[in-house]
Amino acid sequence: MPTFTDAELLNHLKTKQPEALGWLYDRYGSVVYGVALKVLQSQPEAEDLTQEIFLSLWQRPVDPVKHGHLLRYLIAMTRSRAIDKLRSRSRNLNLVQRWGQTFTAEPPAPTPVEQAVASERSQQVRQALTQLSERQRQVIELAYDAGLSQSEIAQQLQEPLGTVKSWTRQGLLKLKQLLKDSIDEGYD
Amino acid sequence: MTEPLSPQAIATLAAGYVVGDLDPTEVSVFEQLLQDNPTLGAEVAQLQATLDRVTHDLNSVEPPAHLRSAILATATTPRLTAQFQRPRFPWRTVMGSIAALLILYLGVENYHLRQDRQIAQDIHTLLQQPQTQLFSLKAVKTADTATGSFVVNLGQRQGVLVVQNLTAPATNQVYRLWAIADGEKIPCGTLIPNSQGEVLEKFWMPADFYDTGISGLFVTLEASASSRYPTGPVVLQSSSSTQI
Repeated sequence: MPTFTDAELLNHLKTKQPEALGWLYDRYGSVVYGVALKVLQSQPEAEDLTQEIFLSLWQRPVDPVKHGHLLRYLIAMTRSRAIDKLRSRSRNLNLVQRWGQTFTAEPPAPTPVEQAVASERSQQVRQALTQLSERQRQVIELAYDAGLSQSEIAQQLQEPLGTVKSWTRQGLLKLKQLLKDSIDEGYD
Repeated sequence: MTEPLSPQAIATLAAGYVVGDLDPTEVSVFEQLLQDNPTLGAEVAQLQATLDRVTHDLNSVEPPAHLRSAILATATTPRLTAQFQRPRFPWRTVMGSIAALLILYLGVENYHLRQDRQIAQDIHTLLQQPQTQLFSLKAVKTADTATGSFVVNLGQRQGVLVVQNLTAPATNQVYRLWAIADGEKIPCGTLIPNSQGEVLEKFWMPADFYDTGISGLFVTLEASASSRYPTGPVVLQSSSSTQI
């Protein structure tokens, strides 16, 4: 795949070039599917939602100026729609709350599906996380795996917001060192 | 800030800048540092690449192989496109509301947060869209001077909330925004007032939640930032809505 930036891909999408949709899917399909699967815990539903997200990008391409950071945008959109589907699927079972609480104590063990497909690259990040302090790892996972805001994390860990911020920043700095070589290899 | 910052302090600021959790003063300090020291930009880029990599890999699960071709096939198959609902009301010119938003917009400029500048741009964009709704929020208690505005466009799936004079919540409490759609109370997110009691937050408003439209909004004080149903006291409530 050509090394287009996200903004270039979105511009190609605006001119309805199907290959741009394919390239965007190659770049972000696994993230969208992963977030959908994490929330919905159902492969068929995660596939449907992934399809819905990419088709909505195709039909209504987002503005590259406003959404230059496409990764963050897609994760937010997928998580939000997935939670919506959970709500309509079974409000009585209170799955949303259950899902929210999954991350209160320990990060969940990966499901067999997730385990089977965890790539080597993803293993590097998981491995790097184990080298952080317990608290640094916890706040990074709560923020970027479970999708909680920093104030939600502070609430959940019953720690001051400033402390959570500090752990997150220190954790990120350490991860930068740990992942430096693999990122320099050409992660765009 | 008169004393030069230690390299460690600068690195910490850079990390906070990428995470997006610096307070306005720290942002000013850091942006000045970025101007004075262009090589710091490379550090920021590297931190951003690290965070993207972590976010990507923590969420990435390889989808089944058939999904890609299914999506491309659906995208390129001609079909009837869904028509957006026409606005229920004819277009109106609401000069007062727009003036209020412009004041908020100018107020926003004082924050100097890059996220907030983005939000200011979002407000600007929302104002230019048809079917944008504006809600005024007022404090429930008469002694409370908190007021706010919420501008939302469900076509754009975005809402921006601006609140003034909101007192800081107790340490174990948070403000939460809720939207009422079809009689249901839908959580929109958490509000964190700054030290001046101001809130400026952008909310993702997925159209699926609100296909019947938003009839009202309110802010409650909750014990948990992840509460999915309002249980605490209502602090602010929408008093009027206007279709722009």
